Amino acid sequence: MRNKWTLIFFFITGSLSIEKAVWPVNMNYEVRKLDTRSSNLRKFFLISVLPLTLLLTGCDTNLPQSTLWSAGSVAQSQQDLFYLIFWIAAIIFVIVEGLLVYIMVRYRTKAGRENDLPEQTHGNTKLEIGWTILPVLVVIAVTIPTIRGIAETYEPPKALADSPSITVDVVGHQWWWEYRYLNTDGDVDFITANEMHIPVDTVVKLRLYSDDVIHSFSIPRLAGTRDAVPGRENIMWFDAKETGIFVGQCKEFCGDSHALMKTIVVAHNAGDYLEWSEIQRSGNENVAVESNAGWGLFESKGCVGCHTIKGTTALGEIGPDLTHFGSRLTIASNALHKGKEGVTFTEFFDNPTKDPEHINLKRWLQHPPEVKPGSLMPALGITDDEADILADFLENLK
Amino acid sequence: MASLSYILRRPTSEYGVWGWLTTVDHKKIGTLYMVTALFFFLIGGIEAIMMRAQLATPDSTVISADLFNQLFTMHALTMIFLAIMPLGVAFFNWLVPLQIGARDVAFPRLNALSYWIYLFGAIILNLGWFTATSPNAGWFAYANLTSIQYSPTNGMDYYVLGLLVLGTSSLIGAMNFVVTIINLRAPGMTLIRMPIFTWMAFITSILLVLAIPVITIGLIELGFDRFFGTLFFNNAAGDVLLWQHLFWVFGHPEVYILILPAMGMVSEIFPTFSRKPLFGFPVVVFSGIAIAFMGWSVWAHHMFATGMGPVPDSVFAATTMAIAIPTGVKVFNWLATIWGGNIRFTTAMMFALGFIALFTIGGLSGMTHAAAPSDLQQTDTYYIVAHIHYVLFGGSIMAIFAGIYYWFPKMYGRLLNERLGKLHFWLVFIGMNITFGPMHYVGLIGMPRRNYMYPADMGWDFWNMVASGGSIIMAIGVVVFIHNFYRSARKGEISGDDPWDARTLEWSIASPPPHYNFAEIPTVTSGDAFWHQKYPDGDKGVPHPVPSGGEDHEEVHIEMPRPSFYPLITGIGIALLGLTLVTHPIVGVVGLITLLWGSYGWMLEPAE
Repeated sequence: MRNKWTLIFFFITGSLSIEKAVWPVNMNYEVRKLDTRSSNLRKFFLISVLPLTLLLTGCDTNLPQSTLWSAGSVAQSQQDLFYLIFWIAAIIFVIVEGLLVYIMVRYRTKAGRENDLPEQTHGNTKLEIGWTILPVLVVIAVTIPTIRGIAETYEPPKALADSPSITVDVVGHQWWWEYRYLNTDGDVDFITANEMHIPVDTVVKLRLYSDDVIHSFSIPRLAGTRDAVPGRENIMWFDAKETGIFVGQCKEFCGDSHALMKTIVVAHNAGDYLEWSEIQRSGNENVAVESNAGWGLFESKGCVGCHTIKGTTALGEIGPDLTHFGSRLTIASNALHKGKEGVTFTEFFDNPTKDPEHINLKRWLQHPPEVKPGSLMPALGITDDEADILADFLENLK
Repeated sequence: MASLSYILRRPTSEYGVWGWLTTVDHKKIGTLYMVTALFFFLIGGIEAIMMRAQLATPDSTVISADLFNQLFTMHALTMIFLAIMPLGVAFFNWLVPLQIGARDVAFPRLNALSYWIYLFGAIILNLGWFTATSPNAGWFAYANLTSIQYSPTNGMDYYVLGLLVLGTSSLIGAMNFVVTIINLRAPGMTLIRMPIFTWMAFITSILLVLAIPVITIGLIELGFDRFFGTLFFNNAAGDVLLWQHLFWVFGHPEVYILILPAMGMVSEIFPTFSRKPLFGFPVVVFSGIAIAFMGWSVWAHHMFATGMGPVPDSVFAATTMAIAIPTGVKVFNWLATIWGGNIRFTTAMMFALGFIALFTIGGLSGMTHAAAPSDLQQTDTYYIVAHIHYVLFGGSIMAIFAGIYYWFPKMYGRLLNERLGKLHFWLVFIGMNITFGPMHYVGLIGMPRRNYMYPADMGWDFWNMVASGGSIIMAIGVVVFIHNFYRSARKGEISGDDPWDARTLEWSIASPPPHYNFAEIPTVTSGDAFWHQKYPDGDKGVPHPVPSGGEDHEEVHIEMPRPSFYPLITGIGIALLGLTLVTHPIVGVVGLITLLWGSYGWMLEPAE
């Protein structure tokens, strides 16, 4: 709430003070003459410094997808670089805008003297050289740390060479993410989708691919973007310094449901991660039995053609792997979450209590294109009863 | 064959509808450009307002994903290719001949053709609205989302054909201005005595001549991929990233094509309303040239996220940072121009000052994403949206408004209403900051751009509502402006020839100027030629009353290029040819015949 009042205050003070300072044409000159030097300074302060300060102190940056609330080494160095340049830019901003306002106040015309000719200066070589060198110095000051940081966005720095690491292949699809975990030999260990689980304080090396168009993988609190380009392999890496759920979404425009191509990264402590990866490695053979009405529907509705449930005859590879769908928190690449209706994503990730009624899941099963425009998953004419059965079945894929 | 030229009698009327359709007068063509571009500026604005309506609240369902994608694609295309660029060209048309003391451009009929192709290209680009299939893959149109497989509607066809036609128009226009500026300057007007706006028009035109062919190659390859099944941008046989390189090799100089005319305008306005010459004139010229050169070496900063590798990332980060140097030099020279001046706060001057204030913010935020690692967080977020709007709205549009208030008296012989003008300024200035200011913050806290909806509770809700509110304020400002323009053009206060006590040759003749501009071609002996005529005693001299344009008011008979139908006919031919691939071969046949008719008629028509 602090934000709102800051903004309102900022615009009222900012615009009023600007208006007072640069509205001399229609204002009575006699009144303006009473302005003292100190009140000019006050305006100068109000206009250039105060709004900036207010904006900086008033803005909360600790938000779920914030680029300025880093929880990993890569995001941290990106954030540090941003703030370095930001403060340099802020100083230049205050100088230039301050100078501009000062000139407008100091050199505004006086009533009856509109036609006076001021001194006709054509230029000044020393000044020109000065204000060429000044930006050169600024540019050098920001270019050096920039170039130093670039290599680190591709591969971990030497300091982290010996720390434990895992490698995950990320494949972008319209509009979901596939995660293929590699074992130490470089072979696929297990496959999951839309929710990447990682151990904390571990280097996570990603290789990025795309199955269709260009996507872009980004988890702002852990690391900035890298594109997944069809026909190419890209690399990036990150680590998480704390456990928790980190949100991100595709950043390269990729078609209708680009806005809904979201993902989460769940950082566990090492033990929990091992447990999770054990489960992921296993199949779910026992669900594919005739007595399971859900499996019957899953087969007869054709779900098996696109989705894999490891250990069964469902081997489709067009849609996300659903082997352990029941253990996930989100539906359809995070287009929906599994909490109660009306609960926001942020609230749900803070306290992931699932909706026992599966309202969101059933909505997705019955109306995929409505939830996710352009979705390849068609509306299969699933009735309410069938949706109940299917939802139960899917939620039991632990 | 000579009979061809008699199919249409050479038009003689300079008035009425036929007068406009057949005109080859640079001033009337300039007005056509301006009115058309302002129309598209409104269309682009309506598209923006629709998007802001959708984004005002989270999980909004005001408009669909597909419509939203069409809107943001068309908003960018409209504002860049159909509004800001042609508004710049409108000023080139009006001012370049007047500023260099010429009676018209070098190729008057070509100039008319350039306008007609622009108009038809704009229509082709917008055809999709009639079937709700406008281009929807972004104005940057990254392959392979633009392939038939992923964009099966006609939308991207309109994109390819519309931009190809528009590119032809830009190319023709730019070459015309390069030739005009090189060859038609008044006696004594050396390059360094040339007005700064004409200088920037010159640099911009050269940029256009060099940049348009690059996008043309890309568009032709994309068109071949879509229409004939070639594989230029196929990920297996061709290269997806090739498009991005072609697009941005054009796209970044394009940014300077949009901003350099704006810089030229404010560089004329500051001296006039400070009553001082432009500070460091040669430095302002050379920094413009430097920006134009360096603009070619920075394109891949749009592509840091594509994983080009550390070396290209470093090179393009460094070149991008370096372009801040000439830009900074320009800003300091403007500040030095008004420093010590006798500043009159006319609406034109307020917009020009607003330009410095806002463009500086856009430049500074540019520094943070020139830093590649930092950019990886900001790319494709609202932070970039904020940046480009501070540059293109706070920069180009503010300067264009300044230019309109400044040169309107020359165009119509009447002043725009200053009271409405100031209202317009404050509404736009405040509205613009309320709309785009918070986008910096929203972007930094992770809101990606080009999302048709966003979830609640991410910290984005309130600021999006604020931005939408600000866009309404801006829209009201633009309505005030349109009202002012319409009203003042007919009923505005009579301005006289030189209402601002200005400095360049266009103010030495009547307002509006006679058909032939200059009864007698002036001889130039210094920069700010008209100023030195008026103040011959030197820098501190007393104004010396020279009856500006006095003799021009009498009707003088000067042989001028006569109106012609053929630019219009040629333009229609080119547009029909352009439409062939999305309609029917018969359209192409008709187009080809029309084009041949137009060009043969043109050839055989006596030029004088």
